[in-house]
Amino acid sequence: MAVIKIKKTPRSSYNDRRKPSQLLLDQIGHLEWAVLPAAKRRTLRKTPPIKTEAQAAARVAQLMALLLEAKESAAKKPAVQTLPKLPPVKKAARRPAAKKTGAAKKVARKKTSRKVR
Amino acid sequence: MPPPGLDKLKHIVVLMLENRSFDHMLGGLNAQDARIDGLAGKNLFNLDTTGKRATAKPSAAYQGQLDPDPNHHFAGIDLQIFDGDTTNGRVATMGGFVKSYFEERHDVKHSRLIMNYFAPQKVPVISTLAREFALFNGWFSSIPGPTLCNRAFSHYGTSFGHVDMTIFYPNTQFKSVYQRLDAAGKTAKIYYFDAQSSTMEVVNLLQHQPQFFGTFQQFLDDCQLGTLPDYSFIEPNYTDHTDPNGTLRIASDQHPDHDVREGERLIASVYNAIKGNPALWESTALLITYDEHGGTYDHVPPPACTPDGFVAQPADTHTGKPFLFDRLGVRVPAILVSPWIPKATVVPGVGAVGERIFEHASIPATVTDYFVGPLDERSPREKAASTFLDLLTLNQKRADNDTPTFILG
Repeated sequence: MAVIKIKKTPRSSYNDRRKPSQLLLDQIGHLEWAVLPAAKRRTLRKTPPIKTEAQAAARVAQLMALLLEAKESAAKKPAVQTLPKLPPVKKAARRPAAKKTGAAKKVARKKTSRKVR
Repeated sequence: MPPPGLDKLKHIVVLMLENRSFDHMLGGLNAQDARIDGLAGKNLFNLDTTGKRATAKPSAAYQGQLDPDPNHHFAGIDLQIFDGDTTNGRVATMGGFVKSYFEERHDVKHSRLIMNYFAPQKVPVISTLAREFALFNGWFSSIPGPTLCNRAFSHYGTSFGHVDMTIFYPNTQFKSVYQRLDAAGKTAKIYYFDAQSSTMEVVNLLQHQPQFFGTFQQFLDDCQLGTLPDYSFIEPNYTDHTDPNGTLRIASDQHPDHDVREGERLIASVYNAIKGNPALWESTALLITYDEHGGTYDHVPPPACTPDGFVAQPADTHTGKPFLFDRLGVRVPAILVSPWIPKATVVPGVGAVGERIFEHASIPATVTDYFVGPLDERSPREKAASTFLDLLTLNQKRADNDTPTFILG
């Protein structure tokens, strides 16, 4: 059986400034619902709009932490009475430019040297 | 006496990706094996909104063609399947995909892209596994609806009457497969990618029974250490994000418009993790599937099925009609991997000799039957669902060099 080599997904695929899908927004809605006490859920207003996937991911992590903290607490009550503020939209999370040549390419590499996995 | 593969089976692992149809991912494989119910050479088409033919072509791109996200809500899928026919005697033609996608951007040329499918060489991981192990010609999403209600069928064997993305806090009538295994003294876990990706649909379980959850890294560790639970359900990474260590994480769910290649890498990673532990490899069955078709084209009309006992009202279906959960959703890829499965197994689908129809309720049905045994408190759909472990038929395990190896760059 031949060995099949799978290349890395190109870094240009990464775009954390992409508008979040409805699926992600629904996921966040579920988590927000879960972290609040029952009485607060009935009056839950829509939080300000999530603008990017990076912001959606940060929000999910924020809510996950609250949810798991609440479970760990001895009283097993929701840890919060109101939802936390949305994480900011990070300007640094810009999508790398599609094509650059020469010196511009080297500069771009230095500026965005984080690993992609 | 069960075949040796079934006798040795200790673990079932399910990896569920997002929003691609059977034809979209695997429609080119029938050029290599005519038993596969794909698209190659068939010249199948939909009419676009100008009345011109949009023929299915092996021109799918990894990213960029399916933006905006194709409609995959109940009413949109109804249009895709029935091409706008709302009469009582209507027939599923699979003729409305292009018209449905046109609604997203009102661009005729762009709407035709929904017919594209991947050439097998562009998606080598899923194509290779499909040819090497068991490919289901007739695995369908459970209902013609979006992600969450379909994922619910894989966890509970029902969506409790939902056809949309509303929050599920189900009654206790039907327990999740994880709760059932736990009650029977077995182990089960849902591995989500990381805290920033989390889990879909089963927030209720996460809130009340977090012991059922782990991260993808924990899955990899459990494979290596031999501590995998009896049943594992793996969720992909749902977002492009930076993890706490500063590493950029590319979404691996394959949900449009995420890059399909990262999903290929995830599939290969799961396969490698299991195969990398010889004891685990010979005692594990891995099912790779997709929650629903995400609006992408498939040519096989979804068949009727056992009603679920629930009814979705017209206000929820947005079609003006109730839905009795008596028809499956659009066909999705499904591959069962085990060294005890004969190479190039193709499970016959709709209309073929020996037809076998599967859907996501087949997952809890199979897992429960195998690890728990007969259990009456299950949905009618789950009780009627086909199970799949009988595909482990070999008397001798396939040699390691007779099964594929993926090297991740």
